[in-house]
Amino acid sequence: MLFHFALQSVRSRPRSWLVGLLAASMAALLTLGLSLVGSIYDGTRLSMIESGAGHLQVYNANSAEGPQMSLGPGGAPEMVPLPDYARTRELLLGVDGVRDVVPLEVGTGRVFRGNYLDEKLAAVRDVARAPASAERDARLGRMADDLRRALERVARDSRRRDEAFSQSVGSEEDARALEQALAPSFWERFGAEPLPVLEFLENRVAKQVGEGESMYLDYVGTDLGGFAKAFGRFELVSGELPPRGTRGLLLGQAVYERSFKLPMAVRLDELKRERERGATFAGDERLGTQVERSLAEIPDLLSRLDVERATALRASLEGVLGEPGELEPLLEKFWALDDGNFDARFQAFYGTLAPHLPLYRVRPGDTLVLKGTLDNDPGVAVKVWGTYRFRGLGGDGSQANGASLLDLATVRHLSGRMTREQMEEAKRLLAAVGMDSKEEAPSFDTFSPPRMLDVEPAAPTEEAPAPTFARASLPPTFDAADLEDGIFHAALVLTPDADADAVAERIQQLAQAKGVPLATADWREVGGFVTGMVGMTQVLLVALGGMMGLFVLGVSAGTLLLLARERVGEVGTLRAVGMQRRDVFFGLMLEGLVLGAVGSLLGHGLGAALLWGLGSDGIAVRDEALQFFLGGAVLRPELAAWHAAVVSVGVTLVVLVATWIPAWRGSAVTPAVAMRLREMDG
Amino acid sequence: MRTRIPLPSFVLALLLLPVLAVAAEAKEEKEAKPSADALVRQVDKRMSMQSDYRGVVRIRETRKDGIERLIEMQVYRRDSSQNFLMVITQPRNLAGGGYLRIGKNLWEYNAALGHWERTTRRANIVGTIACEGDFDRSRLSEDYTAVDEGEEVIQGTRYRKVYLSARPDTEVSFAHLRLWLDPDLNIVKRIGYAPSGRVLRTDLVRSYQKLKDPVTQQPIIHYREVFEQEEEEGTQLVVRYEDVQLAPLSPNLFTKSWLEGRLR
Repeated sequence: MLFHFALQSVRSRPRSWLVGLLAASMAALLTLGLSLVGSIYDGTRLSMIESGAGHLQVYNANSAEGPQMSLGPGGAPEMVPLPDYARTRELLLGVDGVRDVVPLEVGTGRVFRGNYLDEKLAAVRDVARAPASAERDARLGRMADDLRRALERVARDSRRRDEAFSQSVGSEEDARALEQALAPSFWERFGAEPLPVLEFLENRVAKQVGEGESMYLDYVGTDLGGFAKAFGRFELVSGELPPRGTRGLLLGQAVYERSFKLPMAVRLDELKRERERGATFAGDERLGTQVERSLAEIPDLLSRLDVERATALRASLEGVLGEPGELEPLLEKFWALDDGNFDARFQAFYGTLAPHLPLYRVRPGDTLVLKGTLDNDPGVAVKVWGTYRFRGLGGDGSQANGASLLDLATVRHLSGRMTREQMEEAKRLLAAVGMDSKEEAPSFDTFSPPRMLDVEPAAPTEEAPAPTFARASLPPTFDAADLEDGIFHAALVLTPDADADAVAERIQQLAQAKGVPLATADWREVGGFVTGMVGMTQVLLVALGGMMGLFVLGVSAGTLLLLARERVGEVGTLRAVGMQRRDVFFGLMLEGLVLGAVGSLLGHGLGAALLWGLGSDGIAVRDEALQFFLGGAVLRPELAAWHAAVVSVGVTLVVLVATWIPAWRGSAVTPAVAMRLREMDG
Repeated sequence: MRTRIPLPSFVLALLLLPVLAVAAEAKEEKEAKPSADALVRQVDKRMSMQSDYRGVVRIRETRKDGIERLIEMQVYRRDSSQNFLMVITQPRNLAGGGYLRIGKNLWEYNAALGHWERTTRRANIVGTIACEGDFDRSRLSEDYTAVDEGEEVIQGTRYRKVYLSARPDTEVSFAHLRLWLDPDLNIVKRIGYAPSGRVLRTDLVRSYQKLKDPVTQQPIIHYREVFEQEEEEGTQLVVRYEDVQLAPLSPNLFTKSWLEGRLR
């Protein structure tokens, strides 16, 4: 009977439907939010697991910190190597559900690039040091012409700079050095003694065009072949995998496109993407700014071109633009982009001009010098074997393709960890020079004046031959067995039917049984800032839900209080005919329940319909940074049964709470009060 | 005629006499006590030489995890033209590399790669917490301005404390330095600070060596052993300056070609 009473009341009071409407809106928004946050969680989980983190990671339980796949400002976590990696790997492969074990070490390296004069001079120095021959001399002659032209450009830029800014003492010295370098006698000397001439240019002139630049390179140290095999989405974009036991680098396609490509080509790509999103040169100032920045880089590009390339580029530009001219004005004209010529110029750039341009700084097969993040790291040369991406985890700008893969021998060298051989050598050397005794660090607070030794300077030994040394480069190959005492963590790839939590439990039991200090971490623990981002979306959803709940609560309670006031007579009559206060209270609460339940179900249905309508084929996500968090370039929002349960129950509860006070106050009306109020109203 | 001094004036003079004596002494002391900048100039002067310099530097590095290594370098200096060359001789994997300064350019030569790279005086060298400035001539007065921080008595010795701030447009390893100078103006303790004021490195000079400049015949002092500790990682260095020779060096020494020629 109460239910019937409640339904009748709701039907007869359309103003109470406002509460249902609010409940429906909240339910619809929460449905969309839950689905989106769920998609972000699932997408990030997929991206993390399939781009190298694996379902689980195993590390030494004695480590102070757990493994991380993306390093924060604090650098690499403080970890202890896995005990006897070969044996640990065997043990792990024997655990039910483990398909592959891939060794890992995550780090950040640095690639330095000198200014264009530094690069040109280094190239000439290499040729000048080669044994004398007619061919070498001819090459040196060509390079000298090229160098002289570059210096003329430097002098011209310097003059322009001096016209614009006041000169300092240093700039006068620089100008004198340039003047000297452009004199004919200087180049006559170059033919006879190239090295001193180069040294003069390196010391006195090269610095005038800038300091060069460093760029950071995130890497994952691993067994490259094993990694490619274990992670099914791995695909080579260019080049090849290094043979087993060979040092090498595979650049992530994202970092290759972003950081190793000619900056003006990167901007051209960006302009194309912007135009595909609907931006125009006429309507969007940013596009014009990109063009201006590319125009400003033309002198640098020209300085990096050798004579052959510059000639070929000029001929190609003349063909594209249909007019003769000098290279620099032709390039400037080519870069005068607008909405009418962009598509044709884009095609011409990649079709005609790119073959004559240094489109990428390195190509598969080239050698790159990698340094550690500290500025004092000596660096190591490593061959770039190719570029790679993870299929289906976003485009070339996705974070999944942002890290490069590096062999573990090079990683060890970069991290500054000494090999067993180097440690033995250090011990031997310390003993040989009498510096091997252990000593306590002195106190910096209580110290005495230094000892003063009367030392007879050693007799000059000018005639002694200068020392010479054998070049000690890191060899291109390595023995994997030598690295097994320095593996810090490993990714576990599980069989499709395996449950990660159950596998982690089995590993813990095995570690205890065998007395091996092993600990496991899942993708959330190793995700670093990525996990933080996912957590943020969840917090935001909870905050949004809370704010909506408070809004619905307040407005519903106000509406129902007003309605309860209007129903004083009705309630008084019901009480007068014998209805108990409790029954009235439950009747009013039941009205709230009906409004909340019907509203939340309708709202959830609306949300589900919206999701279905918007995303039955998936929603294309163009922003490549987002693609990593959505597990690819297409967002496919999904609804789970628990979404419906959480939304319906949650929203209904909010409405019920909002109904509580109006129902309590409404049910408290006695027949006498109701009659008095009615008389007063009358 | 005898002049008679009135009694009140005589008493006043008697009372003022000690005050005047103290004031005169204070003035004298003040005049005797050199300014902070003068002190730093003195420090530079005591360590500077006209002669060419050649020496061996041995560094024992002890990291926080207990791993030790030894780096040995030959240092060549021509202070008259401010040229500087350092050749790493040990360990094997770094041997043949080095640093060369010609004028304003400081070059780093990576022997393993055969690469030259321009670097700065701010950077650390050979993968340690040491800097080029540790091995070069003392030029504190050229690079810094000094502020006197008074005296501090430690274990019965009175030290002058001087706080140095890098002059604008100078390239130095530490933006600020605090020095403890003993009564003979030897640097005993040195703290290097970042521009923010954060401590980067603390050094304790354990011993000096007395030498005689063969060009000027003047005595000079040179570090013998310095203990250095980096603040952030706790890495410690013991740096020994040995086998010093003060004699003319070949003019061809301070060239890239010479250093490149060290590699077979």
